[in-house]
Amino acid sequence: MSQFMGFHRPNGDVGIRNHVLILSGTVYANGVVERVADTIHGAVPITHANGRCQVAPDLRVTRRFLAGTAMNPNVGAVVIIDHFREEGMTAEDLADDIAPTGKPIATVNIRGDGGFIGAVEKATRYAQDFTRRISLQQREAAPLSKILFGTECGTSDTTSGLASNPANGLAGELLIAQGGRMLMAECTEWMGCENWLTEKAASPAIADAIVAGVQHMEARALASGEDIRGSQPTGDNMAGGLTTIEEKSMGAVKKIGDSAIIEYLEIAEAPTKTDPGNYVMYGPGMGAESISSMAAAGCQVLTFCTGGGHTSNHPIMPTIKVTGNRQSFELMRDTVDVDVSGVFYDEITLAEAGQIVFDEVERVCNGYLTKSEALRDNNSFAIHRVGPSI
Amino acid sequence: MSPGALPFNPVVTDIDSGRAILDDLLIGFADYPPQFRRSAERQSMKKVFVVYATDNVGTAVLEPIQTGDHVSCNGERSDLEVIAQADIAYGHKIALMDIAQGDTVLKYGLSIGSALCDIKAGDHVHTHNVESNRGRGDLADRDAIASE
Repeated sequence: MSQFMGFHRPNGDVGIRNHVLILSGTVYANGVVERVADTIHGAVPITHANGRCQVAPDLRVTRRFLAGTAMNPNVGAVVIIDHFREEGMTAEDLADDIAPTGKPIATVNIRGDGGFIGAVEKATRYAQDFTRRISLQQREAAPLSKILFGTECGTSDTTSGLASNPANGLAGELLIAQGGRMLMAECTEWMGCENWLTEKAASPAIADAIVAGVQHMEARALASGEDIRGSQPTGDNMAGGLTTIEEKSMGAVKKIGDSAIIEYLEIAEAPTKTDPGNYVMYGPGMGAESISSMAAAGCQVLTFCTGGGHTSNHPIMPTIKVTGNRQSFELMRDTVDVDVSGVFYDEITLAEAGQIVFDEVERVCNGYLTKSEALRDNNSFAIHRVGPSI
Repeated sequence: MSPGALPFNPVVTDIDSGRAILDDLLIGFADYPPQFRRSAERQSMKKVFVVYATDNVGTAVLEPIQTGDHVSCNGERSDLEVIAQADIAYGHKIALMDIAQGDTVLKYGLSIGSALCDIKAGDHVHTHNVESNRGRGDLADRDAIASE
């Protein structure tokens, strides 16, 4: 079995990065979080618009996103900052969620720790200590079976379903053959090819959950007054050559390969199983929310398949952009990592494209920076909302 | 290009008749020098992309196709050639073989719908001759998925 060099966590997880996370508990702590992260070498800020005036089910999802991001194996230590005692999600609540990982955690409360200036000082001292402590850690060998490999597609075009997505599915199969796990979310895009997914489900319960997840997402769209299925494929899809919903969806779900689906997860929920294979997660097609839910589930690395070109990059989960559109690759050479358009020009086969994607994933797992990481273009942390602000 | 300009045996000037003669003689194309295989017509042949070996449609993703174009395939079916019976825009599909009414249209090796009428090799394959089998409220009694 192939190995990679990663950072071993006390709970057995293995990260491919070693970040100090400065985590905002609420929107009102964002300013302190950003100031601390500015000061500290290697610190990554996580800020967001949530944490206040949310209904309970919605707050639970937010808490899962925030705690899950901090629990991700790529995070070496965490400083959590909140501004008041948020009912249902204090910094201490988040720390309790994260604690089982065994990584260093500190909490700072803006009110209790001397306002903005006091909180910045205290959090900065914690973060300085943490970043030096984890800087002593060395990469050590780990089996590829430790990798949870997330996959996403966005700004898709005609080339996506033909090249980048199926190449990615083949790359996933190569990882699964090494004992790894692949995770796909965006259940909106499963609509029309539930069959293909349920046939792979490892149990009838998983198959039922897949169908129910699609129906739930559809009901959510209908409740908003939008009939997505009645209009699928969309007019511009059809103008672009897509004929039926199953054709459109197949192009999307081909991001995963033919291995069995081992577990169905709720949004931002970590897998409970470790068997090699595919894992699927409920969630929206919105890219930033989707990849953030996969980072919260513990994905160390993600491939983002794009046709038109995409900038998406998660702050702590290296996001490898893959395109089958040569023009997009040329236009966004500093942003898109892998070009598999050679399949259209008889330069490479799809199988070779899959190997190219897999090789890049393996390099990134060993520490190779993605193009967006090198630019610190950390643009894609977003939390899915399941209720209104009250 | 005039036939006289072709840099090989001037007896064979047409790729189709040339191929027929060679097939009759049981001589493979590959036995001939590259100039032969890259005749003027061969060079002008348009390409579509086939994503899976069992597919009966290809996608015009390298270049748009015009009616009458000789079309060959990149991807998983390099052996197939058809003559386009319609213009095929970028991103649109062409039938790689005859598809009878009611037969399954295959892309990714999987069904993307059923043929509404007989589709001839080289035809444009789209909403006018393919219907979805999913999300069909009108077929609710025989479509388990659509019956929710």
